[in-house]
Amino acid sequence: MINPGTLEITSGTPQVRSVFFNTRQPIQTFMVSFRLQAVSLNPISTPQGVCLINQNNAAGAGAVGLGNGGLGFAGMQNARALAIYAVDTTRVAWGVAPGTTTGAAQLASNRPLDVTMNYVGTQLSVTIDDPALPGVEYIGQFEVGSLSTQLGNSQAFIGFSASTGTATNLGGATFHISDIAYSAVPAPGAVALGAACLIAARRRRDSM
Amino acid sequence: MVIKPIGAITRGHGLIAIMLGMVGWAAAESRADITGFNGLAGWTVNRTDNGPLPT
Repeated sequence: MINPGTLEITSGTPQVRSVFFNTRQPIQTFMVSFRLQAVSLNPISTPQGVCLINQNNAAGAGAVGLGNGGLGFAGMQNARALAIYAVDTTRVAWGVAPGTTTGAAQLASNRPLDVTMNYVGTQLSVTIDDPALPGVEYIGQFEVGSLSTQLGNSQAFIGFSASTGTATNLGGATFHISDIAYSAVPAPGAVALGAACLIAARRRRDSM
Repeated sequence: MVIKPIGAITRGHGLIAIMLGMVGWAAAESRADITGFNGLAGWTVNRTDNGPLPT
């Protein structure tokens, strides 16, 4: 760790890495945010970048995918991921689908990006803010279906992966991840019911 | 103090409502959250290359 809150998931030479929280988390509805910073990045033709992964792979928290542009995620069975990576430009993708150019939020050396991802129902929304470009943000909306069904469980391992080039196509980016916050948002029904009942009780008490 | 029957019913409803509200709150609180890396305690780190592990 660069400090107790900053993970250096890659550190230069072509690498393939993953990091997973040891306890599975609910994935029916959730919100996750983190800061991604490329400390050194020289774009090459091989994708270099980071994935935020939800997975129920047989390897559990020890799962790691392929390098060579696979971002440490490609080939990982029973997994879904948000990929943020650089090739000619910065791209954002869900799963293994080809990415779309963000335009607004670019991975670049020493330019932190603040990523927020919300999953509600079957919809995934992603916002990426670049503090250097206030008022300009990437907003992506993905129809991803039921993660619980796709991953075979209402809970999954949460973590990150990254890769940085190949032995012959040297990228060697250093990626830092910090300020991660994952919250399994409670089902709206439970909180709404509780709140409605409390309000009803207070009104009845006040009317007595 | 005289408690009217209708008042007793209302208080009972209020008690049930509060209990239901607490159940809803407990359901929300029982869900785990991740906040920060905390020095990677509780995390598993992996690599398939020959470089150093993520730190």
